[in-house]
Amino acid sequence: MENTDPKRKEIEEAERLLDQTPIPELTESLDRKFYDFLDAAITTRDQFPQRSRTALYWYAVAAGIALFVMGWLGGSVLSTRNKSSVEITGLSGEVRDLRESLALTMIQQPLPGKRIQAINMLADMKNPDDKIYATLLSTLNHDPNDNVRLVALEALAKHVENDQVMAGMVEAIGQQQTSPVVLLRLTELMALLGEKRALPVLKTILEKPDLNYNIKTQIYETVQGLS
Amino acid sequence: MKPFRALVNHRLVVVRVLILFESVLFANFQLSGQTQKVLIPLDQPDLSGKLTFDNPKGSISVTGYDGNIIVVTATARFNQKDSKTQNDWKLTYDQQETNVILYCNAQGNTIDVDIKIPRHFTLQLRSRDNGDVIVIRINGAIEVDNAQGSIMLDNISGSAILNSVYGNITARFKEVNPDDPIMATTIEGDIELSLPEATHANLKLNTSRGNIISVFPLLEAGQESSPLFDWKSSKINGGGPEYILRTYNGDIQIKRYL
Repeated sequence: MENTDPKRKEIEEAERLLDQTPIPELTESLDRKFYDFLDAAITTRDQFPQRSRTALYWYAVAAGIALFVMGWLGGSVLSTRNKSSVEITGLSGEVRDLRESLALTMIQQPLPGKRIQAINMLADMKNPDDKIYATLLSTLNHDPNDNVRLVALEALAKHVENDQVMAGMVEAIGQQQTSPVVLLRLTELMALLGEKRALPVLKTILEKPDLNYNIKTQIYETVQGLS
Repeated sequence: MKPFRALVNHRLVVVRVLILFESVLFANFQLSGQTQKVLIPLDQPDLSGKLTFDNPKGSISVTGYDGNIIVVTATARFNQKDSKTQNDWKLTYDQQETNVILYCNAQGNTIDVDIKIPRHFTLQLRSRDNGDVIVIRINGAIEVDNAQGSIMLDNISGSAILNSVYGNITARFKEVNPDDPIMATTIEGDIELSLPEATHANLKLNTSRGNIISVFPLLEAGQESSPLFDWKSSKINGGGPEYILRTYNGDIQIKRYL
């Protein structure tokens, strides 16, 4: 009965085979191999999830920054739409006032170069007011230096459409007897503008005996042209 | 060490007092000659100062040097037979620290005045008649008014505002102040301006009867729109402060400083 069961026979066979298989000796190299495999396995397992975790972290930071920047930009765009125009006009008005008061202070400096700079600052201002015109006219009539007077005249000549300026320039002709360069240019401007109001004063000057020949010619021609 | 220093200081004071005494002596007592000399010691020679001089008749020559005393030598140009008026002229000065004003009471004489001055000085000079004004080797802002004669500036570092009527104007700049304008106007004379290679400036040039010549390329910076303004505008090295040159009956030349 014992020997007839084929399954049992098979098992016995297998046991016999297993018994016969030599057991390999536990050598050092085998040991090392095993631990090498283990280490390799551990490192591969560790590396993979770590890499993905840091990448995720940085994606989150970048997204945060992007959101922040977008919020800022959006906010600033919205706020400039509302306030900026008012604020900038207010500021530029203040800057203009500052420049004007600086120029009005500089125009009293002893150095003529500084006074010329001040006149150029006043001349560059948009929509000049009466105060600026009055300052330029006063410089044209009273500055001790002829060159400074001349620069003031050129600055005023940009605003001849203003009555105050034009009347002031005509009036200034009589004040320039000691400034031949200014008198010559002023006469030239009167001729170019066809300003008849200048006639009486030019005629008076023409009668002066010690007048420079070129100025005399210029005034004579201007008087001829205007009358 | 200390007593030695005191001694030196003491000596300096003695020298200064001597110089002062000498200047007073020359200014007030030495009137018999044709030449008068005034020595003006500067209390703070390191600082730059300002000299103002208005000569009623005669030339002015100012030369910068490395010293700390202003040396003024004035000479009557003509020998007058009437010795009374000839000897009446007088040179005096006012001094507040480094601010010096020179006076020449000429009594109708033509007095040529030569001035040696520390180099860093602002000058305000005027000759009313009968002489040229020459300024050499000065570092500062120079203002000259000489209606009747010519104006000559050479070896200048700084800026200048120059005005004549009958004279030529020559101004040679070794260095220019990067912020300050330069201006020269006359009616009968030529204007010559020499500038260092690296000058930045906006030029405005006008002559009614003469020519304009420039070694710096004069790029048309666009004519002013109004017919009232007849000057030629141009920029040197991209532009900078305004340099205005204007004559009626003369030429304008712009050169390189050599």
